[in-house]
Amino acid sequence: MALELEYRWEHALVAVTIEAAAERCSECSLEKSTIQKLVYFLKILKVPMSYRFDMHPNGPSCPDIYDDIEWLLAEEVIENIENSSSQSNYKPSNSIADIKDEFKNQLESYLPIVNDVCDSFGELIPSTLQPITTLDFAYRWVKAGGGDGPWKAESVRKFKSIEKEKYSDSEIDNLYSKLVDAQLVTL
Amino acid sequence: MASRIFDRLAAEKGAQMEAIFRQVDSLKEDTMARARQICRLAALLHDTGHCCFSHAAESVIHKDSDHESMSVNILCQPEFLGTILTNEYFEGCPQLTASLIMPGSDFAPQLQLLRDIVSGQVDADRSDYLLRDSLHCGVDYGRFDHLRLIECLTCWQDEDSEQLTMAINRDGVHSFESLILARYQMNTQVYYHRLRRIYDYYLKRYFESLGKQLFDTPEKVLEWNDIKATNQLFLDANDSSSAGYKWASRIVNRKHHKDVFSLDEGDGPHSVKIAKKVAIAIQSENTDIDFIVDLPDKPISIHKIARDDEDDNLLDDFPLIERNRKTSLGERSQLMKHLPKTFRIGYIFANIDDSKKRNEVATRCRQLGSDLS
Repeated sequence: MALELEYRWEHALVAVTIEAAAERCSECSLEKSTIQKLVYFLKILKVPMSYRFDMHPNGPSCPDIYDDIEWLLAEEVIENIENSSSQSNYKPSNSIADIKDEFKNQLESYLPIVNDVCDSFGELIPSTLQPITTLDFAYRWVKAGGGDGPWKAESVRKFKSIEKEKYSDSEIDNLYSKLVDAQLVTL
Repeated sequence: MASRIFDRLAAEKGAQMEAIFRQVDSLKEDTMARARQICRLAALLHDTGHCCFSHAAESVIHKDSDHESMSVNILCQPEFLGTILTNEYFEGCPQLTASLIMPGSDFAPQLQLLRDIVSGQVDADRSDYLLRDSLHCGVDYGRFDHLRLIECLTCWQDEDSEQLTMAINRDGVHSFESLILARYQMNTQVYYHRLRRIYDYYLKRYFESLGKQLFDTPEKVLEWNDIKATNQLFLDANDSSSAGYKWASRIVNRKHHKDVFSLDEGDGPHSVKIAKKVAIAIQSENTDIDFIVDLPDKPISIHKIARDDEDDNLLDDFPLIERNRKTSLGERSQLMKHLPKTFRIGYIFANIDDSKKRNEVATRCRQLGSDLS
């Protein structure tokens, strides 16, 4: 019998991202938008995936991740520990070992990057991840203009034009440092 | 189609578009002409990496990537189109065009509007293939008033970030709804029709039987066009010693497995899981019958318009412009509030010629489905 029901690499990648983030996020809720942002950072760091992200000031968007999260829930690879259907907080579940085993070789190569990203951003709540992705948007906007940098001052100016006075200079500086530490942007 | 959409947007918001596009390094000169060019090239070339019979062969040929990666390779590599596009148009043209097809870390957010034209809710590709496929399949439900829809397109500039995205005027809501309905009808009745699915399966197995070494470079992928593949298919169907005979003969002689169980369009992921269990159970009860199971590994997307009741801001909020103010299409369109965003169609096929036996197996599958639920 031919059973056309294989897991895809993206299923494994999202699953281990949820697992890694959940380990670092015991007190906070791991929502879909958080997972989407973490996977976006993995894409920037050249982890192979078929997801295509559209760039918006409030963060990258890729609804295909939503579909894969739904699939992982149905396959009991992950679970939503919130009882309400209008809220989400994902954790790994029973079948995650199977999918990790199936993609063992690829995960060996890319799990360190997943862990690095989750070390940098996994414990951040959505309200903190939001300005980080906006700052990333600002950086990419400025960098598209060409030249060799430095990018920081212009990127921060662009960020401020989007977020207005919502964040202090030191807060923005801190956010930018996190992106630099994760090697997502350069100075 | 891409040119029409670009020209329509430029006619209304050309100055704004030019001001934003000019901020991108390679578009500082001849801004609008270059932007139009990369938009047209991306629309024209985004499927160059498809091998014969489109998606049917993709999983075999591009096991570790996809056709878009192959398209980008063909576009950017100097030995294929890279040098030609650079010489013919401008320095950076292949890379900018590729970034509209596969946005990566180098994607310029200033070009999101062009990305929307190439791959978005109302993109040129999907609008075009619905009309084209509808014509060639002889069905009317894939048709919609695309000229009216394009006429109602506009773009919206975010005040703070300056980013431009595609939007629709209030008058275009019903044309947009027609597009989404056409997409729904064509997907459910043509693209995921049981016969199309089983013959896609045969094609996939057929190409696997030919061996991956036939498709392991861009040159070979380009060489294996539909004409060459069809010719080989007919040769193999008449040669019982050929590696592809089993599958080629089924296709050429139209001797296919019949469906004995199917998902309903509205079924959720849980139903897919039940269907998987049904497949395993029915196979163990009928070891002498050859079954083929074709169940979706993800829902098939119809539209991605966010609605008020969504729990997460993950989906697109397609901008609707009404008296120069931005609202949301999801709020305004009554149809979009009720039309499913995704659907799932899947089948269990069995190689049973006797209709009585087939009915028995189909009845047993339904019973198993009911018991396992």
